[in-house]
Amino acid sequence: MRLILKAAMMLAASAMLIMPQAGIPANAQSTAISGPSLEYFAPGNILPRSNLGVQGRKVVFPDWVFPLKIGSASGHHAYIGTQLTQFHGVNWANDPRLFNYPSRDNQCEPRQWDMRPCPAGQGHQGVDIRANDNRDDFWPVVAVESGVVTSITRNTTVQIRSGNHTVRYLHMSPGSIADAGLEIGNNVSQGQQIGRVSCFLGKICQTSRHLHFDAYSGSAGQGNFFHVYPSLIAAYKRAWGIPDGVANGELTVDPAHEVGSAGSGPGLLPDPGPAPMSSCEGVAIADPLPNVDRNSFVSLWRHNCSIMGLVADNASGERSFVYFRPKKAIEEIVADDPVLFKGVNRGGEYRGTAKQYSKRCGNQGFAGRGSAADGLTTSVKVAGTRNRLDSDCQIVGTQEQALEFVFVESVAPQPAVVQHTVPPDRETLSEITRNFLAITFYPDASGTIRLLPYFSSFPGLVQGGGKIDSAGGLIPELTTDEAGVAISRVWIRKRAQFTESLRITPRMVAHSMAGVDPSACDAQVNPTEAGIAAARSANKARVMCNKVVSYLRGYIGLGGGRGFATDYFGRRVSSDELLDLGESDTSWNWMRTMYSHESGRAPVIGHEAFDRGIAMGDHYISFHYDQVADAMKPIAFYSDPCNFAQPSCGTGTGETVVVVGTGGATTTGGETTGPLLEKLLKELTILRSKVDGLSRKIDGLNISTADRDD
Amino acid sequence: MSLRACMVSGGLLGTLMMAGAAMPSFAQELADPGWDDPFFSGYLERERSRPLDASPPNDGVSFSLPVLGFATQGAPGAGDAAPPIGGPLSARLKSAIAEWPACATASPKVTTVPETPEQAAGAAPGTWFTSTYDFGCLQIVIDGDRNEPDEAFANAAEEAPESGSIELAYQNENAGESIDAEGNVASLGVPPKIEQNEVVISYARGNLVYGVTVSCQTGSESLCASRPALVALTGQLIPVAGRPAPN
Repeated sequence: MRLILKAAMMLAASAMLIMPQAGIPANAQSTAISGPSLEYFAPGNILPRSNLGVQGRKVVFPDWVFPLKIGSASGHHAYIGTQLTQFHGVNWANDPRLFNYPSRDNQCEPRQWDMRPCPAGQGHQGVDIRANDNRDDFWPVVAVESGVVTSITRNTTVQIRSGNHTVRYLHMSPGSIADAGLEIGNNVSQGQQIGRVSCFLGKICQTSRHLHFDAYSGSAGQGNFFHVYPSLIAAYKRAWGIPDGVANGELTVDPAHEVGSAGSGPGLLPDPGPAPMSSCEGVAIADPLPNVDRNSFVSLWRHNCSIMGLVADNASGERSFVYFRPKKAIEEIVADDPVLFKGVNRGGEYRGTAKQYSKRCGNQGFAGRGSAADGLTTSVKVAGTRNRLDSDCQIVGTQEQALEFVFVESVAPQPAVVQHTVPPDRETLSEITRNFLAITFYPDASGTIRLLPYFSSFPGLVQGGGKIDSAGGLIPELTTDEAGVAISRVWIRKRAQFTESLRITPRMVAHSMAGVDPSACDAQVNPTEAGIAAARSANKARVMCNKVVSYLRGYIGLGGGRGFATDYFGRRVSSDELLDLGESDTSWNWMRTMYSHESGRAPVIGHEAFDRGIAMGDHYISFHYDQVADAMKPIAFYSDPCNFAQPSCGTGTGETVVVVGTGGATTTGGETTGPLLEKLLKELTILRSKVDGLSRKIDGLNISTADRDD
Repeated sequence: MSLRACMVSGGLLGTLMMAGAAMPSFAQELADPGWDDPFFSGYLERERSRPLDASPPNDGVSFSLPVLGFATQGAPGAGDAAPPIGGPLSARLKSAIAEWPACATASPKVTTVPETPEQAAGAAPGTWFTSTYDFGCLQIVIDGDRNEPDEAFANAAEEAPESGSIELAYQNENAGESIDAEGNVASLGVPPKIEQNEVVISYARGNLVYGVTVSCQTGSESLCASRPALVALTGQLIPVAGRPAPN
């Protein structure tokens, strides 16, 4: 069957190539006449994974025209997209079906070319563009801007320079370049035809019929390629009389034409305020260096797109600029020795030693001095003369080097351990119910809310208690704060998906809390192809990933969110940082992060009560999951600091114990329960669990199995 | 003024140096190209002794960065380490590079842009160049630029390569897919096609990184496929034009 289909397509292609009357095949004519509506993916959303692309929307070249003759004047279309068949599931690179919307960025798709702007550091230098249909040597290519032809190779790479950058047009037919009268040294005008779309590579036709298009700064050897897709989309829209949507130098989200833009959620839309006209947009920035402490900085600065921290000692006047989040391209070079400049500030003048990095020859210092530029405190320039080395690391001259640092933001003082002040009141549902993770159960089809066994069997549950949230879900109530911590421990150890028991990452916890499979969202928490396929809708897939984003905003500050983890860890926590909750401090910090995300403020429990709750949770896991009958102690046991040899034992300052509901025995710090009473309470707990189980069976047979416990 | 580039088959210096022509002012900052690199010292010594009547025509361009190229007959820029000038360039390259293709013409057609201020493309004339050496079945395009790049591409001290270092990158457009003239992709099981017909070499000299694009066609593929040969070819480049700008 596959061979027959292929043969049919080949026949169709033959017909296209020989069809008289301009040679336009029926399908292409109908395509042009019906006028398919423009659709395109967001910049950086490339195949095979969107996190490989440059996400920035900066329109570097706002005055370009599109490099093919398209638009309302001609009625012709063009389609930006990968030319590689491996991403389309076809084995004919000129398959007519590939000449279609939506357009899609393909700069940085996997290639061996070193590309500093690409997140992977390698990739496709520009974009591939298919013409209106698959005819060879037919569709005119035009200059996107005026310039001078600097080279034409027989591989038909045409380079046209304008100002300090060069635009490259590849794979046109040699005859078409000659027909256009193009020669090296020609001045060409914007819109002037320079050739026709073809398939030349290595002087023969051996790539698909497409135009490879890219632009770079400086010399070809520097490899400084621009992200051209936003500029091309803007030019394409203008050609069709559509507002290009360029605002503040960036391509704004266009719900009418941009695939998946409707329903974009918090943190994913551009900031509503003026967008910075920074050429650093789209430059991949590394995560904070592991050996650099953000809290040691008084402020953050930008240097060649890297984020630097300024260490300032006002008593001694010492100043250091340290790489905090370097550009990805230099992360490896600077990570081990991130101090770029170290010196003193004397009356506004900086003097010290700057660093010359070299993997081959080792880092070397050179004297630098400078001052706050223009007397402002928002920019510092330090200059000096560094040695130039040759490939044998011999000094072969000197070079003036200027380092410029531009102020970004102050760093609020953050002690390593944030003082945790327990709020005196309880406001939110998670606080009132002591269900600190707001584990919620929703009605089933019959309208009945049923708790899952792990929760309904929990001895710290207030039977019949709880609060109804705005979506109609029940947030069950716990008898004590320790019970509230305990059930959260059970959830994280036994119920959380995508984690390995107590070894978690914020990203996986967020996916679990949101109920979204990790494969549905990429590293930037944008929908993946798999996610879209599973959701059967790009918008639904986007909504799913936005749920994850919402948690990550609260947890770690993704997209400018609250980021409670910073409060408790005393540093930034990355989304993929592995946290071992088996470690006491890590557990305390992370669970507070989760509790605070639910309540919006510091948790209403102290450290000692938390530790007792953790013990209670672990005991319950042994009892419920591991069938260790005597693992649990009476509820009251976990409220007594003396049972855990905690500092508040006997001081009367043990955290408040509030027992509600079933009227179980209550004690506070200092009072111990006798062995007999303890035994009785334990038996009572087990009996209650059994009674609860029987009650469920009596209630009915339609026990819900849906796990909607968040 | 002719819009076409002048074709030169001999040394570039005579036609590219200019004295006294009025230049428009350009706001773009310029990098120090690193003339004090010993690699340029022999060339500069000869330049200083060059008679004044060798100045270029008035419509030429004075390059303030070292223009790299191959020593061609009559070129004054051959450095001490360069092979003695004598005989066609192709023969000299053949003696230095085993993979030098037999199909290459004896002497290349050399074209350099800009040759006039009108060809400066809006940048300050003499601050950049692109030279094409066309050997028929092989073209070598050399470009250099001392304009400071956009901030996103700024090469600060942490990224400056050592003078003389050479890096190679292949175009790799088909990413290993083997495609015939009709666009049919070779079926599974066929080894990935290694595209080696166009390579860009990054070559650091002084404070600049030059581009050397080698474009190979039928008969010259073995040169493009050989990294040692390409490194050796790059090693044949010498300063052929340019002069430090007066302070």
